[in-house]
Amino acid sequence: MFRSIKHIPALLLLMLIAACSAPEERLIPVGDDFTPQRGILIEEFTGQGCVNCPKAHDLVKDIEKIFGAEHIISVGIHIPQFGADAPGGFVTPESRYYGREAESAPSAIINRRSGVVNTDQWLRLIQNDIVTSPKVTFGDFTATTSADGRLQVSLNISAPKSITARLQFWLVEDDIEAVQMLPGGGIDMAYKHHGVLRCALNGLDGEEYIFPTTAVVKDFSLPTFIKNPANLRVVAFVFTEAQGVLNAVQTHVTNL
Amino acid sequence: MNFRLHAALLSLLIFALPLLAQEDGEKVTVHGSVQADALCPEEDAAIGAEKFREKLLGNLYANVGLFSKYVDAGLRAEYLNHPLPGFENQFKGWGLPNFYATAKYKGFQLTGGTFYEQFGSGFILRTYEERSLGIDNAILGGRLKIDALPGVRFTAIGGVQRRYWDWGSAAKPWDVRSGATLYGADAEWDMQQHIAALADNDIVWTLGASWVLKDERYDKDDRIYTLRDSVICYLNMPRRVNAFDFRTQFFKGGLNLLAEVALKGPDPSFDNNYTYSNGSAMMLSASYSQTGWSAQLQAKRSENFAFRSRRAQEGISSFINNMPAFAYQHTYALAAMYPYATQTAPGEWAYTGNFAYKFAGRYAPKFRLNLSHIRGINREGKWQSGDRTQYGTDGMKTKFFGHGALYYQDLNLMYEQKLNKVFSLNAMYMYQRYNKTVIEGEGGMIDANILVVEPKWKISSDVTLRSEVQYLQTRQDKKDWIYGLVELSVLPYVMVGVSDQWNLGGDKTHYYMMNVTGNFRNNRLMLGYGRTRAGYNCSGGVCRYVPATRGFTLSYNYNF
Repeated sequence: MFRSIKHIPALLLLMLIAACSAPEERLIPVGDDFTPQRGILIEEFTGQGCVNCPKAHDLVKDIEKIFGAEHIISVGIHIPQFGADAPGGFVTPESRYYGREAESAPSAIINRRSGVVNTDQWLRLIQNDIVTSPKVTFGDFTATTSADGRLQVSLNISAPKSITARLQFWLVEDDIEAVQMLPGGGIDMAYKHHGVLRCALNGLDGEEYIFPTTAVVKDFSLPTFIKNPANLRVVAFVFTEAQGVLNAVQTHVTNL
Repeated sequence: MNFRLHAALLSLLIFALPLLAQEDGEKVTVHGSVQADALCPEEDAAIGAEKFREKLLGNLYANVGLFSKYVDAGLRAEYLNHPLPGFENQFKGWGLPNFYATAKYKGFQLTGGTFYEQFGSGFILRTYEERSLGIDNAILGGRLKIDALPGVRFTAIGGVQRRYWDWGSAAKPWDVRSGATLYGADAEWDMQQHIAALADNDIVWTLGASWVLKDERYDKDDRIYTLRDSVICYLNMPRRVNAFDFRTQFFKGGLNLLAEVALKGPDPSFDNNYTYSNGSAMMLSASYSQTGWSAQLQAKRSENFAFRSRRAQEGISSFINNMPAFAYQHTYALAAMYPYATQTAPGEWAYTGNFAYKFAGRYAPKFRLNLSHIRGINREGKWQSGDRTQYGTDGMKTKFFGHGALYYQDLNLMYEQKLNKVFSLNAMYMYQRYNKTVIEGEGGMIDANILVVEPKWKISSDVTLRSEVQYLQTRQDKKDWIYGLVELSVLPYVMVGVSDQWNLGGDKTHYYMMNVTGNFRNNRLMLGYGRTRAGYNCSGGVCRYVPATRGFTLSYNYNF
């Protein structure tokens, strides 16, 4: 009896470590056989009072390096749990609307197909989607501001098959210097906020179009709380309720 | 056939079982309860109370159980489609999430359906329901309990764990088979039943051991990706995680000693930054009580001991275990303003002690001194949630006996005295240190002094007037607060209360509340109106953030 019992601790230890893998076996490279075929929209839920959000911003930068910044369309949607309303903060009626499902930050919806997910899921979802052929493609995309504060947007869209979908234009601003909580509870008073959603240019849910080929030309007024018009971008994406984002693209705003 | 229909059919079967099992002359009893909590929310910019689309929010629960000599059965219906503020989105839903039937014969009990279970102190398994936090992590499956031999108890379980309305994995929440399967066993031996020398000396000495296995699939859709040197990698996860718990408890006279140790195998998860080291937890507890006084000392060390049935889960759901809380759980409003949440993943060293003394005499005072002191463990770097540099590693090295930063400290002295036949007085002074950065992510260390005075006047045998005056002094966060309450109760039917919590030092906001409570037979109805402050609602070291609200409230309970 004692002979059997005395082996129990060793058996338990064996069971504990049985699941261990050597450090070099824990990270499995997925290879680099993925060629980006389309744009990926990251609706990144964030906030100036969110201490872990700067780490998510760093992750987005890494993702842009890997897949190419032209394919990663990341938009910072500031949710009210972690920030103040514009113009003092970055929370807008639009960011409240798009972030209504986000309970915590950092989190994101990838291509409007994933639901709200934490940072662990972003790479997997992007890698899955970015290699798929888009159902719509974009041609020339320009956005220009005029002296009277108007914004003209022109975008050519084509689709190999006829499809009814919604087209959304967003105005985002880069490199806004403002306060940000940091990991560990510190504060950076001059943090550079990238890709902040400023407004939805054509309604909260965009406008419906029947593609295949459409040349869209729009004229919008700029919101008054823009910090620096030189750092503006327009993000465009086509989406359906059922299929999520079919493709996304962005362009810098230039002055006429 | 969907899961709700399955549950309904099974529930009908469950209710038929006790009737089938009923023997001549055996009595079947029926017990149950209804609980409804509702809020008519109003927008209030002054406190940050949001506007809701719904005019009425509420949580509704109804339990019913049949109990007989050989078979028990029960179920619970829940309607949570428009829940009270602060619960996660997946909390919404309705249905029959809990249903069970238990067959009993002599020392054997076999349960099928949903059940709650705890092994030891809950280090490796504790499933429970805590409605105020939205926690119900019941297991759906089977459980066998054997208590047939004197002094020996055995439990075995198997099943999947509830997460709100899901029983499956994060990728396929509707698929019961996709979720982690839990297996476990627990054995306890009361040694005095078999060792005469212990029984002869009035010693009760128990040994216990438990084992839990989490078997969690890791398909392509579940993969966790990260970057290593700009290369995309996914983590090679262990599918099975074993956890063990060993404990011993000793009683003699007023002395009670407990020692418990638990170990967990590599369990990379969102909680521990997907690190692969083993987890550990240990606790020592000693208490002694005699007529008129008692004392207790406890110490606990835990490291990497968040144990969930979903490895990528955030928030407070899907926990398989629950670490015992070492911070005193206060009920006074201002004393509970900065509640401590157990730091299961980074780990902690926690100490608690209390000493209670009652002087002799009918109107003599009673004192109780409580101390909680909780620190981080000593590690070579700074632990941060979401630190991707740690993914796939063993995590930072730690020293067993070393201490890290102070997380929480609470020293409070309570005083209770019946002054004469009609007047009694309770009072408390508390000094608190609360590391808001560790517990909430930002805010630094908060040092607070809290004073509470609670006089009670028994006007007649049925009528009592009670009041509370509380003051919280701090130079940090929202500075000083004052709280007042007046409550008149007319036994056994009515209680009326008015209170106000006023932020003196910060934004000067008043959080007023009025309520009327009526009791009639087994019914209890409370109606109220007022503001509720945004903050953390905690129970047993588990905390949920509750946003600010204003509006009419209703709470109804019925037991039968």
